[in-house]
Amino acid sequence: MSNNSENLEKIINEALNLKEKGKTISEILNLYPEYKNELKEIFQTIDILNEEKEKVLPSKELLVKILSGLTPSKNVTEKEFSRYLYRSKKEPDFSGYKGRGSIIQLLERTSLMTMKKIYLGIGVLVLALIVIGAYYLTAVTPNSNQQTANQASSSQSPASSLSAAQEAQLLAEATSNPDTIVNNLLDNSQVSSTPVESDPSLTSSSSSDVLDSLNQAVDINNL
Amino acid sequence: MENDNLQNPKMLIQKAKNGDNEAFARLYELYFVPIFRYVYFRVKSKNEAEDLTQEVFLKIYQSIENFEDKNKSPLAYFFTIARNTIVDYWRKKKELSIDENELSEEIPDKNPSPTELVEKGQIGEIVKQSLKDLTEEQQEIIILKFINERTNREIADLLNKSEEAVRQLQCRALKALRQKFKDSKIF
Repeated sequence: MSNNSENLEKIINEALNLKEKGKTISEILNLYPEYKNELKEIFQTIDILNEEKEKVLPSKELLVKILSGLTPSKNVTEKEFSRYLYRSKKEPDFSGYKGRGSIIQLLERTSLMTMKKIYLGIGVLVLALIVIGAYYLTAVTPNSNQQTANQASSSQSPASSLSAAQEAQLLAEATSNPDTIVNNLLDNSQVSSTPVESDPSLTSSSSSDVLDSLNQAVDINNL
Repeated sequence: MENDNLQNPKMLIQKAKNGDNEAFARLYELYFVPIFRYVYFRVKSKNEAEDLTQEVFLKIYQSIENFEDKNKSPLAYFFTIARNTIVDYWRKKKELSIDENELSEEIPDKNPSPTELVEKGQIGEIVKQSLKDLTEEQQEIIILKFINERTNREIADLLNKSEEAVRQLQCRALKALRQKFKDSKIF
């Protein structure tokens, strides 16, 4: 850099300082007569910048647009509550934003998608548990049904055995076929052969009733 | 007292940090024009300046909680965000310019010359073009000093430079601008 250029920079610096201190341009120019033209052009440059600055004004619509983007604070009574517990506030609308707004939008959506994935995962897990539970129930039910049936047959009342014998007797009277009658009665007696521990008197009475029925059926046949 | 609070940016930013949207709105009104002018002289068009200004204020709104009052003025905070936004903008532009350069080899440049602009009375365009020919530091200093009317101390804080360095850059930038205006026959 030449000495002349360095000197000019130094003079410009001093001239600007003097201007800031309140000296007029003509006063400053008189202080540096050898750099008068250069300094004059420097001050003209600053004037042009000032003039152009005044011409640059943003539209009021832009200010309104930005200010309307601020969400007004609401009273608790005016707040809209979400029915979703996991979504505390509404999804922000970034449709009007450009540049970085789109990145924010992307991050926001990615976060929501992650939340959705978590809830989807939990849903699948619950569904899987339901299916496993159902499978377990269907696998176990036949045995339990069998047990229930056995319990039911074991606890079949002597009265029902008795009525079966009476039915067999009536059938014998109607058909006069002793083999059928005997088979039916034997079937019934097998079903009811399991003793009912709770009331042995009932068991013995039912057996004797069956035998009596058998005898009667044989007598009918002989006749 | 209440009126003082409404004019004091430091009070306003504290209120804004506590969620007071009215204080926010007041801050926006105070800094809207300086920020817009700062952005306008550093980008190509008014539309882009408007979009970027909007982006700057959105970022401030989202990051106001991060503002820490460590001898830093709210305006410096606003300018820092505006500055970072512009740096991002030009970074993206440079990425795109690779494709644009390929096209520009085939299409002749139809931008009017500075003399044509002077004849049309479009001094503003010359100013913008001349500013763009300066280094990034020089551009910032000229805009902050003569467009935004900041003091050398404020500019030094904002750019993390000494006041002496700011003065030097300012003089060099003014000298370069003067030469450009002279070449464009503005004066």
